[in-house]
Order: sequence, then structure tokens, then C-alpha cells
Amino acid sequence: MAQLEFNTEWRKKEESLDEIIKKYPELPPISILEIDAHRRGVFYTDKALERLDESVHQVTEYTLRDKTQRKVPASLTFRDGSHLVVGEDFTKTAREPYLVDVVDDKIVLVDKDKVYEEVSFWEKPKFFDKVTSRGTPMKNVIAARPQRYSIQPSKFCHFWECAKDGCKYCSYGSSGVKYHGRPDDLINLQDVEETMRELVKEPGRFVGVILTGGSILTGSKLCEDELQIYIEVLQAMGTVFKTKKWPSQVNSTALDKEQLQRLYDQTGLTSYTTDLEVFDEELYKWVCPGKAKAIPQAEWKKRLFDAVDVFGKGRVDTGLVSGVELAKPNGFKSEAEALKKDFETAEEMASHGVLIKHDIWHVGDNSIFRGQLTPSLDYYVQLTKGLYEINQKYGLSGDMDSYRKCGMHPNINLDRI
Amino acid sequence: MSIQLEKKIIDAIKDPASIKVIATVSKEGIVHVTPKGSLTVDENGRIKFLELLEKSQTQKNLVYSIWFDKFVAVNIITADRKSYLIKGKIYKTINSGKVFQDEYVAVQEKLGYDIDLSAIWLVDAEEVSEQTFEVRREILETAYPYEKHVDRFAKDELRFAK
Repeated sequence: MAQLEFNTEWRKKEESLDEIIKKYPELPPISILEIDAHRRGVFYTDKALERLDESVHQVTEYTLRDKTQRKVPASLTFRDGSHLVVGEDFTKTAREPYLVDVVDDKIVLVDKDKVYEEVSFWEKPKFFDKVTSRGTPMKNVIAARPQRYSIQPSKFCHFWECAKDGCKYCSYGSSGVKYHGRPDDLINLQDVEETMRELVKEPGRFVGVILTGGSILTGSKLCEDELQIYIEVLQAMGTVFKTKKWPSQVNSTALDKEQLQRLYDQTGLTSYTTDLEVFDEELYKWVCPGKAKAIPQAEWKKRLFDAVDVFGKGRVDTGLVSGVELAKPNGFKSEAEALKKDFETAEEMASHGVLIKHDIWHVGDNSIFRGQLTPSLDYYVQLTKGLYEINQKYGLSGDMDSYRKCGMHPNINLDRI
Repeated sequence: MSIQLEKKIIDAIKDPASIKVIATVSKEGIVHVTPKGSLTVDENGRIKFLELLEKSQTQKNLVYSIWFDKFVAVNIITADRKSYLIKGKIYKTINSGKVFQDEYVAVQEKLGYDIDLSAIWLVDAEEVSEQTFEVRREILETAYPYEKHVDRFAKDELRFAK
């Protein structure tokens, strides 16, 4: 079995999962466990991997730090139908991950020999085994979670043109640099259309799509080329639908109002996301220098408010990469300070009809922030609860980015009841 | 602790002539009762039913039940007016994968292609009792012989005198 080495000292400094569950009885224990599993990641035992069937399950292949080759499930579904979006390959936290093991013939999440929850592996869609007429494997055209599919229109993020401008938490930006100037940087529209034709033949498989990729700053005005590729991809996708609008989400660089209107009018798109990433303006400049230079935070916010005018209340959201505002050396010095600022900005955005979500920060080896420590479980639970309450206060439903359509936003997942 | 359902209960559940209802409770504590024609028993002996609407109150209450370990209750009313009450806890919901998709196809073939399926729900039975009126009357009046109106103890010539 592949071995992992972690420092377990953190357990002495932080409240345990059981203590946090007891501390917040108003939150579902299974949701708190999910938050912690997102934070700490997972690792599959040999017994669990014996249950992996490549003809049924979605598989991820990668190489461990010790060069061991691993072929593991893409991720897991919980008993309540929510999906953990944590690949073993991006489990690079300083804390040891949960083990996915087999106990009493069930696949379960285990920590320190205690069984917490039964889980199941994600199944792959049928189109994953097909290729387009151009010979492209369809699984390289459209990715899938259990109920959502996704398309990456562009791989190279222009903020990484100069490495120091890249978002410091991002693991994808640096790996996308190799696509700069290559013809396969942008997705092929014929591949998209052909894959979509297969995808819609699978009844009951999907409830929505997200399109997101690297920022494209070029064009007759800022992000014009990015807008164009989104319009073209959405139009190619739209050829398989009988209605003008269909369940869909674009997560792009912040477009201006005229661009947003074109995006809405010329495609089947029904919801829009552009992430502020860091809610404190000074930290935004430090963590996302390229973004801050191209679009200052005040302008980014204005574009979100404009998007609500175009798409409607509850059809626009923005997220923070939760925890990066505590990164060293410039981040907040305490979790309480970080939460205070996060809630202030969330309140400001929600009061303008922008739904708020957070994504738990994974410290990737390819990111500038590699080696940093993410916050405590208590911070993540407080943030989740606070953002949920702010969305509720302003009557903002999380349907556009729900547990079915994403799964990575713990505060929105609470919307189910 | 979950229990195995007796054959007569399974037969009552599976009889198409039976009426089946499910009671759930919301996070505000409000009870919600709805018919569940899809309710059956699966190959592992668990109660299984379908929720067609993702945003229904029943769906919300079922999620609340699995999140906070609350009971749900099912009542089966047979064609000969027997009533069986089953209380249980949610084992899991299935909303993706082959099992779900096969059920989705079956639902559409039966109910039409404009009908959706949100989730399959599985319940572990923890308690079963017969609620048929005559059966409950016998049990309760034996257990509580003096919890009746006084006229029922009176001599018939007095009780029914005009």
C-alpha cells in the first residue's frame, strides 16, 4: 500500500470533528464531515481500490510524491446524495486525509479507526468511452460529476502570462501555461457539438453544466475574446436543445454590462458567476495581482451587480477561496478577523442580489501558496453557517450552484431543507 | 435499530390495491403527509420510494430527516381496510448512477416523458404496528379499562332507556 507521511501535531491544536459537530448542533453532522473531508482530503486503501471498476466508475490517474502511480476513484457521493469534490491527487494538505476503506462490506470514510460515513464512488457517463469524428476522446471534451457536466473553453489563463500575476492559490494556472499559443488551447466546437449529441442520450444523468476556463484578456476591449469563445461554445451546445434557454452556468472573468447582455441574449445561458476570490481589497491585490490590475475589486463588484440586472436575482453568484485570506505572510492574523471581513463583503454583495458561495482552499503543489496551512474546521463551519444565513436573509436561493450542480459550496448545500 | 419486515407487511406494501402515505417533518417541526404510490420494499428488505420533485416539501423533509436522524412514518391501508404503521429512519438517497438512471427511465416509461425523478429514498424500518381500528381498540381498552365514558359502564336498561 502507498504510504503517506503527515504531521499529526495539528490535532493537538485544533478542535476535532466530533467536538465541532457537538458545538454546532444546528448544522447537519454529515455536512460538517464533508467540509472537513474537503479540507483534509481523502486517501484510498487497497481494500477500497479493490471495489474500483473502471467499466463503471470514473477514474483519476496520478503520481504520488514518492513516484508511486495511483489509479483512484474521481471522488465520492454521500448517503444524503451530496457529492464530495476531492480528488486524492489534490490531497496535499499538511493534515492527514480521511481514509476511504471497506468495513462490514461497505465503503466508508474513516479517521483514526472511527467509521464516519458510508460513501460510494462516482460513476462515469457512457460518452466517456466514445470519441468524436476528429478522434478526440469525448471525456477530454466534457468532464463530469455525478449530476453535472463541465466544459473548459480555454486552458491558458492570461493572468499567468507573467507568473507573478497569477492567483497565488491556483494550481491550474501554472499547468495551463504550456498551452499558450497552441491550437489546442481553445476547445474545438465540432468536438463540443458531437459530445453534446451523445451526452443528451443519457436520460437522468445530468441537471446542469458549467463552462469555465482560463481568463482571456485580449480583443477589441478587455475580455472580448473570452466572451466570444463562451458565446460560440454555448451556441454549439445549444444545437442539441429544443428550448432557447437551458440549465447552464458560465464562470468567467468579470464581463462588463454590454458583454453580459450579449452573452445572455445570444445563448441559452441561464446563470452567471464571476468570483471575487478574496473579499478584502488589499489582500485581493496581493493574492490575485493580475486580476486586481486588470479589474480593480470595486469594478469587479459593479460588474456583478450589473450581471444581476441581466440574469436576475439568484441567477448570479460570486465566491471566495475560503482560507486564502489567512495565508502568510500578508493575510489576516486571526480567523475571527478574516470571518468579520468575509461577512461584511458577503452582506454587501447579497444586498445587491448576488448569491454568495465559498470553495474550500486546497493547497496545491503547483500553486504559489504551496506549503501553507489551511484554517481550522471551526473557521470553515462558522463561514459556512454565516454565508448561508446571509443568503437566507436576502432571499437568495442557491439553485443555480446547488449540491447537484456543483457540490463544492458547503453554504449552498445547506439550502436543501 | 432496524428490523426485518414480516411477510404480511411486505405483501400489504406490494399490493397495488393498497393506499400508501408517508409522513415527514420539516425543520420548523411542521408535519407533512403525502400519498406515495411508488412505495415498495427493495431486495434488501428496505422501504423504497421515489420523489419526483426536487423542490417538494417532502423532499426537503426527507433531507432534514437524514441530516438530523429524524423518524419518518409510513401508513399502508389495504383493500380490506387494515392499516399498518411503519416508523423508520432514512438509510440513504440515490440521485445519480446506474440505479438512479434505470429508475428514471422506468418512471418516464410509466408516467410520461415530461415527468422527472429527483431521488430514490431508502428507509430502514425500526417499528411496525397495526393501526386497524378494531385491533387498536382491543389493545388500548384492555390496557386502559377505565379511560372510557361512564355511560359505557351503565346498565343497558338505563343506558339505552328512552
